[in-house]
Amino acid sequence: MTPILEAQGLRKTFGGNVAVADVSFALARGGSLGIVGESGSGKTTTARMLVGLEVPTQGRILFDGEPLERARSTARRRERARGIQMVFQDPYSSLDRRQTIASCLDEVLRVHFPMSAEQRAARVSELADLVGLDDRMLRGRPGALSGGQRQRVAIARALAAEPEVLILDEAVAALDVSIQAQVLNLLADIRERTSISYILISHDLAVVRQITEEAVVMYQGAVVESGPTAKILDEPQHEYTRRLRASVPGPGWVPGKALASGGAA
Amino acid sequence: MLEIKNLRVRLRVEGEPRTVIHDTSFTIGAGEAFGLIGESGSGKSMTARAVARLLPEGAECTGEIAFAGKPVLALKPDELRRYRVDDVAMIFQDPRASINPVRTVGDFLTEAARTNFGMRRREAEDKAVALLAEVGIADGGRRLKQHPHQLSGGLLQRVMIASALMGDPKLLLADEPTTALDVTTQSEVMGILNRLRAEHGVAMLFITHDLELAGAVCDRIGVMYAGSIVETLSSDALHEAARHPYTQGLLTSRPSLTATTRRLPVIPGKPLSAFEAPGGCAFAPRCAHVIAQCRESGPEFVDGVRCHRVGELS
Amino acid sequence: MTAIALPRTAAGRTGIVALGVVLLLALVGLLAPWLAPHDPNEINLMDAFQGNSATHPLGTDASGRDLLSRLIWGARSSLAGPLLVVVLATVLGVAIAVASAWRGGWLDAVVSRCVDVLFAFPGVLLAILVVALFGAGLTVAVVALAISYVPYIARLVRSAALREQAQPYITALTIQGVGGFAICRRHLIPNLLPLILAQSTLTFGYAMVDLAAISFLGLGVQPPTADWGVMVSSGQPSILQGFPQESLYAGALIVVVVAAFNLLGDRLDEWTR
Repeated sequence: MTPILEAQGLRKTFGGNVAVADVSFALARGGSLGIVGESGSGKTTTARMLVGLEVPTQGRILFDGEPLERARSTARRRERARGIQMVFQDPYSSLDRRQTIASCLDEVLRVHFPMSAEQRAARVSELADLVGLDDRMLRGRPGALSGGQRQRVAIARALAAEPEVLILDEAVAALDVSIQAQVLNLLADIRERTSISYILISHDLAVVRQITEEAVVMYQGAVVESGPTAKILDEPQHEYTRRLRASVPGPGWVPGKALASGGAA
Repeated sequence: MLEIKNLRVRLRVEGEPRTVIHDTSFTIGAGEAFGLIGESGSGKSMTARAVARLLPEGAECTGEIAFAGKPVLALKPDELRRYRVDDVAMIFQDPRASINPVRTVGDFLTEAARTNFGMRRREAEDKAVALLAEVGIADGGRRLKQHPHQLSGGLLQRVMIASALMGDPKLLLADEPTTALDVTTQSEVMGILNRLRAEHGVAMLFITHDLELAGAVCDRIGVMYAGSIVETLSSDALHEAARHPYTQGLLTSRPSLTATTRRLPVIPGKPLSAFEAPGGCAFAPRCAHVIAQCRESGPEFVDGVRCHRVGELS
Repeated sequence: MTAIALPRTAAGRTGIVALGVVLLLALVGLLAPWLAPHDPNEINLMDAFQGNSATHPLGTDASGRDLLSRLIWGARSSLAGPLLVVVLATVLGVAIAVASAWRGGWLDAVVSRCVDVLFAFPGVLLAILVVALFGAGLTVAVVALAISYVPYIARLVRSAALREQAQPYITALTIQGVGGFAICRRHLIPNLLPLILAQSTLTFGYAMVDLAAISFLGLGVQPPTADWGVMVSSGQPSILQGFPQESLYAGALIVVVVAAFNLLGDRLDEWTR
């Protein structure tokens, strides 16, 4: 079966700086792929290329087998928006603080679907139900919501366009532990109920393990290891993956032990 | 060495008093590392600030904070200065925000030593270079001439650790010192912090949201919820001996590195701040084991745990 | 609308007082026909340079016109002029700033250069130049002054727009496929509104002084129309004759209004943050 989203030899340079050197991966329809890396690994630039915020210097992105062209017109961007959506890391700055939650969701529907006001209102409540927001929250503005609730809004907003692929850019990293678990469960539920595919961009290996089946590990702009998530974490092959794996605190963990090279930062 | 008894802090938010710490007590022995963990609004950072007497304007602080017998809350301005110079040092989450970007690293490291201890520049710089070497920065002499923007976040946090140790403090207050760092850098920085603390015999109050991290680097852990410590326990026993439903919930709701579950066991609701918490047990609205008694009366902190039902549950 | 918290501090209360002063003077201007005890342009040479009296509470000028009535009527052009300047300059400045920040590239480069060039001219000088070309009068002075203020507003709003559009919520809207114009109109500009409002308020003070200066030079509001700037100017010869009232009262009102607007601008900036 054709992968829903495929990256082939993506490269992005800014002036003389290579942000992404060479990235390839394929996301199966209905699948979930983790892009793992730390700051400077190029994972965020990769995400920005996937949603069309950056144009690759080299390589191409295939959506459902078709190469994605640079979206110059609003119509093309809308078309792309129906395919790929994104949830950002920071739940505080990713919503317009002056807009009510209902109007935020309504706006997306108005852009994408020829629906009447009543149809849109019905769909807004449906979306709110899906992510566990109540009516009172819908009428309020982001300022009245907690970080976890805002992230639910961001997920609902991304789902409003009914995309095939949802890119989660460190989408649970800023949340409290107890809220993070709720949102991770929500993401699992959504994938069970719809046929959506995820790309999870994260530095958090445990989160990657929890909601992805496949993963690629990026280091300094390139993919250094890829394969089933469980296999990568249980038997890491690349030296960097091993170091990353050993850096995660847990029972019996000794800080700094993962330090192989004496710690040149 | 540090003894906190019934600490209670109220801040003024838009003129209204708001309780942020509600009855917190714990002790830290000489050379001991105590981890204070909690979610946002739990009051963990405010506790560290109260210990350093760095609370915002208009804060009301009751209870006792005793450092080596000295009542911290009653210190006069010059005693307070000596206390901050000689006894405690603090490192923060964002090193870049706590260092003057237009001064050199050398100025930053030696300023306190020169003004507070009357060290000569040369002498202070030698000490700084030696400490930089201890935090794994070999070319200290060159680094002293650099500016903060020339250093990565990880390096800068090591500079902060070196700076905290310049005054040979007895207690280090570390407020999420590695949260902004990459995982691999966090591991390096924690390794360094841990080793130096042990070598210099410095006690530490380590504030974090990461239970596993606290468990790995601290001797004992206090779990804070809604402005109170709900449980203190030895970090060796973290996974086996957690008795409070909140601690247990925190441990099980984190996804695992080695296994996948279809759904994570969650604590419902959201973390509350002390001023939002209802009467009775603050955790009651989110607790799976709640009974009528929990809503009626707040449990006392007995034998390291604050829970009415601890006897039946553990 | 952004909620504006009620001020609790002393600084906040001075803001309220400033707002009160401005509103009061605007009301006085509006109600001039009912409030003014005399016709502001009624010349009565017999009554020239009268002191305070029951019929002329603030006395009269060199032509025997009632000063209080002239000050009351003068509130109209003295306040409406700067208001027009501010509205015009703000609309133009914001439109130019947001367009150039949003589009970037060559448009931004061209706009930035033009703004730099306009900065090289002091506002009043530019306005005087335009008035000299197109003839004296309030309308020409207002338009000229508005244009000379555009760069100040544009530069401030442009940098704020650049900061704001880097926020993830704007990126999210872009990814949603919402058009650029809609994003600017529905999201970007409303979020810049508090800043724009504060800046406009401060600009009002400058515009008042500059317009008064232009009128003082005889290039703005034309006598015999009552206007505070004109009054400062026409009262000048009387000062030498020992009757400083006309210039003094008009000048004092200008100072009060400018001070009130400056205070208000500062406070608005704080309240809406």
